[in-house]
Amino acid sequence: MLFVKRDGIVNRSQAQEFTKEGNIERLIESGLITSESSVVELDEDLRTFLEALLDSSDEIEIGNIGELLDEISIKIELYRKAASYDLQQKSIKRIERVLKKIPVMISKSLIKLHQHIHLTYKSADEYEVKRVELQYYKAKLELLIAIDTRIESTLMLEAAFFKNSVPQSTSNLYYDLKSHLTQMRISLVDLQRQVVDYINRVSPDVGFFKHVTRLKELKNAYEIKEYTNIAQQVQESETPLALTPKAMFSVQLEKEYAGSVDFAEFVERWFQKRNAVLPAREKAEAIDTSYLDESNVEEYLVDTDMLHLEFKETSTDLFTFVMHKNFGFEQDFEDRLSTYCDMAGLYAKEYCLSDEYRVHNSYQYLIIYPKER
Amino acid sequence: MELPRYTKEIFERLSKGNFICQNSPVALEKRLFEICDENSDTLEAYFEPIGFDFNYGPGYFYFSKELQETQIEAKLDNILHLLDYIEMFLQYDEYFNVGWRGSPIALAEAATDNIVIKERIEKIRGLSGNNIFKKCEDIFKKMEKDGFMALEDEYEKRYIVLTSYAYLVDFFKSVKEVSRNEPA
Repeated sequence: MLFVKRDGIVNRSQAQEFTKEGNIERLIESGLITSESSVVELDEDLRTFLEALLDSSDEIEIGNIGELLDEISIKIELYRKAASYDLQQKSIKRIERVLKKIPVMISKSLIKLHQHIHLTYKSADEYEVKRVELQYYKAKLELLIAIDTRIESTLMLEAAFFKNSVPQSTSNLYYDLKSHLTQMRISLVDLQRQVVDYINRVSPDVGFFKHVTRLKELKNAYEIKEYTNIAQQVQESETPLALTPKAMFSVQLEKEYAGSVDFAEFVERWFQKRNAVLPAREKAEAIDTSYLDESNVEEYLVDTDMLHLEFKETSTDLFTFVMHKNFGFEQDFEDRLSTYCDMAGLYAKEYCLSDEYRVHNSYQYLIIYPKER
Repeated sequence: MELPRYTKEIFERLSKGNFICQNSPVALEKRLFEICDENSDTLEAYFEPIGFDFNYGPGYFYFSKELQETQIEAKLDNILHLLDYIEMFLQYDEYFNVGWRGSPIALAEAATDNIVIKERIEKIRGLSGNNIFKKCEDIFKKMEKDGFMALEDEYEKRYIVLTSYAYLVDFFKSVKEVSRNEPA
């Protein structure tokens, strides 16, 4: 309770009211608190230890770094004006503590900003919320960059003091801080680039929206291929397998399994096995050449359509016409009789069928004439 | 060549035409992305001799393939089909981009209130379903099937736009209008 504020100085009589008798003296003896005239305060080393131990706040306290810088300037002034060695040492101790504290605070702020920025970008649902939060962290980051510039100028201003007037340990802390700032600047720039990128990503890309709308208009007007370089881009750009036209084939296999490495290995094994098992095939016996000799088979067919047209031009009866017709190839009586029957059946509607029958070679046939023209 | 762990899983996923995305809601896929990211040179050298081009974009990895002349027209057709989807989503929400979250129900509600979105959905060819909700559901499923979205919450049917969507954005940004006097 006494040292709620770690940097606080407490009146000794007030401290004694809060503690049992003799406890304050014991704390002073053990070096946990220091006493000067009527006030007590926490020992510098203990404060540093407690700060390192207790520094678990989730807040980004960039403003405090500025206060620490002011404190450095004041303590340097006090060191220069100090009347005694003890007072000088006290200022030096305080300066050392601040020099240790600044890089810790900056690192902590940077890590927290990094965490907040990434977490906001990845987890916040609403884009507008994301954008506002990221803008807030960007402002914090810019503040940290400004503080960095201020630290640099303060250190430069007091360079002579740190190089010449102070103990080696303080001087080392000064160089450590400078080195830390150099490294941190890289991270700051990187994080700044990242947050700007995130903000751009969560901001509506108005230009792209307009571009897509225009392309859609051209597509609807069937002009996109003609008035853009889309065909060329399709040809030149990398094609992810997802956009590759799918080869369609049907399989009895489960789709997941068919695309797996296990299945590919199975096919590979099967293929090797298949090649291994297949016996070397022997040549078949030579085919007898006589089997391959050419033999022409000629078959003549009567073109009934042509015959019909020819018959229509005559005035004789169908039977006589067929029996005396020169077909150009051999036709016996049976063949001619068959042709007569075919003609009578196929073209009956176009012929005039009389009631008269005649007999030829013991066959009785009907007298048929072509219809009168 | 010492291959990273999960090379088999990476191959299986990519060879099926999937992307491996940084912002996938599937923990294994996120892990696969990290492995790809840390071992991209090794994996590229390993897959190249067996005919797979291992490629990457901002936040995603994929296998690419050189197209035959006859396939170019089909790819163009696919791309133009996706243009309909993207334009519709941008009409619905101008923030539509990598990391965007949405659901078929919300889209269907918006389509009921907004005739422009409804018209866009109605005009997209190849959608199954005879009501607006089914059509919206089909749109999200198609985007998921092509690897540009993933179902993040099965209960709420909420999808997230994956980093692979940047491929489409980059592609369409590369498409420029040519002068009317000099057809492409």
